[in-house]
Amino acid sequence: MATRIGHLLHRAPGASTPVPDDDDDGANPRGATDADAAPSTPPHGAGRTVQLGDLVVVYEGFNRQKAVTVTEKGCYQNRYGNFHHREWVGKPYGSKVYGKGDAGFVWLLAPTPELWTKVLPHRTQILYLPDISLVCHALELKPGSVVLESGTGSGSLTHSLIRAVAPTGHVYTFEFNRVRAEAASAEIVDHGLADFCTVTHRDIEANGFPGELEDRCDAAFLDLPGPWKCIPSVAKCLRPDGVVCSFSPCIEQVQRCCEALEANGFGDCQTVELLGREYDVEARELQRDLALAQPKLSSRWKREAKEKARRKRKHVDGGDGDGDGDGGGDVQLEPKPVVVAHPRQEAQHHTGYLTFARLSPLVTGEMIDAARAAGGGGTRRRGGGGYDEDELSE
Amino acid sequence: MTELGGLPGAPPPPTLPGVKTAPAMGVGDTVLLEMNGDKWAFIKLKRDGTAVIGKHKDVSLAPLIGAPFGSTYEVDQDGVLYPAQPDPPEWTAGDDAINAIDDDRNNADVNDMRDNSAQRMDQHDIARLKREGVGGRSLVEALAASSATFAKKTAYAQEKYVKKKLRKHLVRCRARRPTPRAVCEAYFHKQPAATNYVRYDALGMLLALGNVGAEAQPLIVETCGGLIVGAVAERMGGRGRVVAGHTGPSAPSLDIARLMNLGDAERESIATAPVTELIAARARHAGIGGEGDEDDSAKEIDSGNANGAADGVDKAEGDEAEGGKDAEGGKDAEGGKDAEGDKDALQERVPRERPEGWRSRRIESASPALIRELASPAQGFTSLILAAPALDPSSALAKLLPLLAPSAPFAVWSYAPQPLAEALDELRRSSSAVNLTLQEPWLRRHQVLPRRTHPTMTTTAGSGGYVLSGNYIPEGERKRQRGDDDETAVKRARTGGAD
Repeated sequence: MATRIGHLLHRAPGASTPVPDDDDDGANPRGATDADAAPSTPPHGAGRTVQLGDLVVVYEGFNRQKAVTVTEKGCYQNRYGNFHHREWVGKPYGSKVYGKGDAGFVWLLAPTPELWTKVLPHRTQILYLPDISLVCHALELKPGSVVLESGTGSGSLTHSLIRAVAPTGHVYTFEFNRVRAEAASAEIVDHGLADFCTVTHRDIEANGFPGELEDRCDAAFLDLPGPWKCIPSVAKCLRPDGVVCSFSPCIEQVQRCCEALEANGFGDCQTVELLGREYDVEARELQRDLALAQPKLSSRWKREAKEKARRKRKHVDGGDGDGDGDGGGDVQLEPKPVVVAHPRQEAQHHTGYLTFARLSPLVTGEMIDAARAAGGGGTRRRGGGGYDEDELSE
Repeated sequence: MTELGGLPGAPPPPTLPGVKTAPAMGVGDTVLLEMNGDKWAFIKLKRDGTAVIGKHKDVSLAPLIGAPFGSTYEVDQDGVLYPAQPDPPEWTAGDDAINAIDDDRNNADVNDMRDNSAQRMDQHDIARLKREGVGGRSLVEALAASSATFAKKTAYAQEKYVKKKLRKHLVRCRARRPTPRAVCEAYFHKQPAATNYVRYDALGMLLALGNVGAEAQPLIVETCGGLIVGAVAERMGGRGRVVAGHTGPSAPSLDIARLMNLGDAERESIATAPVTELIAARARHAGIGGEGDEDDSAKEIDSGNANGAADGVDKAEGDEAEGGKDAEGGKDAEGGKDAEGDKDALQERVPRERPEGWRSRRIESASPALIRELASPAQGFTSLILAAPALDPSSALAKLLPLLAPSAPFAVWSYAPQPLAEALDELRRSSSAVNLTLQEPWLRRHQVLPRRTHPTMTTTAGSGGYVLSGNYIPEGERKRQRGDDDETAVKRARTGGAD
């Protein structure tokens, strides 16, 4: 029944095949293994345990993780040792696995779009979690939404867009570099997401979005050097009240984009800058004794680990917590552990501006007149507060 | 001939989606009226409904019905609401505005005249003009013309003056669709305490870090009035199960979720459940160690019913329990069955004829059978989102994380970093999670206008609170084993590792 964890997308419990696309995988030259036998695994627990062909995120440590596709003969090597994939098969996600010999260990995590963003092969600059999450949320995506994206780049945002609109919606993503488009398309197919996403090689700035998508989209995301060039095309593709978002690193790009948005019937234009400020958290022992020299700040991790080990040994030897000092009145000078959080100095994000705008529903003079006549009855007087000056003076 | 797809190895693109029309405002829908960009009102549309807009008490909302969401309206001095052009142009207004930066005028001679002596008209004059039918823009023009200082101001300052006065004399409103983003923004500006000051970017971050998507089964524990539960339910599109866990015996208000025009499937995908019940059910599963034998299930339903009665949830509970049992056979049928049960139950309760646009706003509490199913170790929640800043995150996570599927992500929001930092430290020491991250969404809005682009002046510090996130590691995978000596631990600790 529980088949929800273990794939980039959640699956309905009891779904007979892991992803609807699996049937096509046999024809896929990159399918590497007999992994596509996955549908034959019993539904109960399938997807919770590592299977051949699964995409696994191997977690070594903070910001040290890798994407690995589990294969029959595969072997993952790192500084902690050699890990044979076949030993992972059948283990639940979240397992700690050990390398050959008495080596170290890694954790096997089920992939999510967030983890994918951390491990994906960079073909371009990518968007990171804070921007991605804001884009998906502010584009007001939900299952069934149809969304445009250009360019595809490394597909970092693409995976999150797919999660937001699947299984009934679709992501149409366009990349003007053929090699990158092909790589992204292969990735989408490998990840079993082709039913929810179509990658197309196309220069959107030069050609706009394909005419066949006109009036069929709920939202659009642009990460282009000249987004203003394709705004008329976006306006044709979106339904009224649909949202467009453009990401630009330079404010001059934002300005030209805003001008084009206004000229093409978009309103509610908002530009924001978002950072995800990450914090380091440490349990520190702050020294209270002013008579002692202070240890170097840089060695705190080592010192703390040593201290911890020493205290532990003492504990085992029958000492107690107080035994550390010389006894007597020193107790209040014991180091006091405090948890501190401080902003991480080197942060991994590309700062840019996100501009959101909404396609305004069309309003005609007749609609305005009709509503005013109906609402005002016979009491309508000259010089009301209409926006259109001509309309006022009639 | 399609221009889409066509890359090697990719299947042909699926059939094109249908033509989309703008979602229209219907009777029974909730509409978020944004007035002059600084006031918000949630209005449930009724036929012949009215609303208070600006100084007008009884404004007919008839023009909204059938019009697309996102439409803009104005209200004239007679209190008549009518559709209006969306936004006055800023960029395409002509060269005057764009060259305003070369304006040589300045405020050297413009003083802050507290006695209002700059304005020659007094309130009687204004009232007289209004009686004569001069309102809105015309009135503001008249005010500017009779201001002693207006002409001396720079073009920017003039524009600011006009905008300020317009705000007072003309109400422009946008009828927004109450999407989670719009609802979140409106509450953040209007009544932030109701949603615990969760800003829309933080909400988006929780949805992403909570891996929310169709067919998920997240556990949400929030005290944000239902904002997060509603946003999660919408993002899942009625597919999967949203469990709104609560502390204490009765579910907290989810009224804000009810503002989001959720469809029946989305609303019915939500079930409230006391977290203590979930934890107890998991403990019973663990105690038996078996795969739910019959005696056990009968017992649980009994005890659960007693509980349900105490919560004041009566008849529907029984219906739901039956639905839950059936669902074990074929889960797909569950949505339909629940819907019928729901309707039956409500028909009995509401014998009167329902008004036009009536829709159920009922959110069910989880039946004992469902609680038992959710707490099954073979099931597990796909993620946890915790946004209840009054709860100690360390203790809450210690109890709630074991309900998750191994490796499942979790995200915890708080307005303060310290409780989250302590929780992170605790999780790291106990190795209950990896990929631990504490971050603060920091957002700033910019005014982007011709030759006058700058960060928007706000009264907020930019912080959207703090989010702790990670992936859950079950207990059996944490203990130190061979190869994991102190040295490795130190190495890992140094790199901020999650040991």
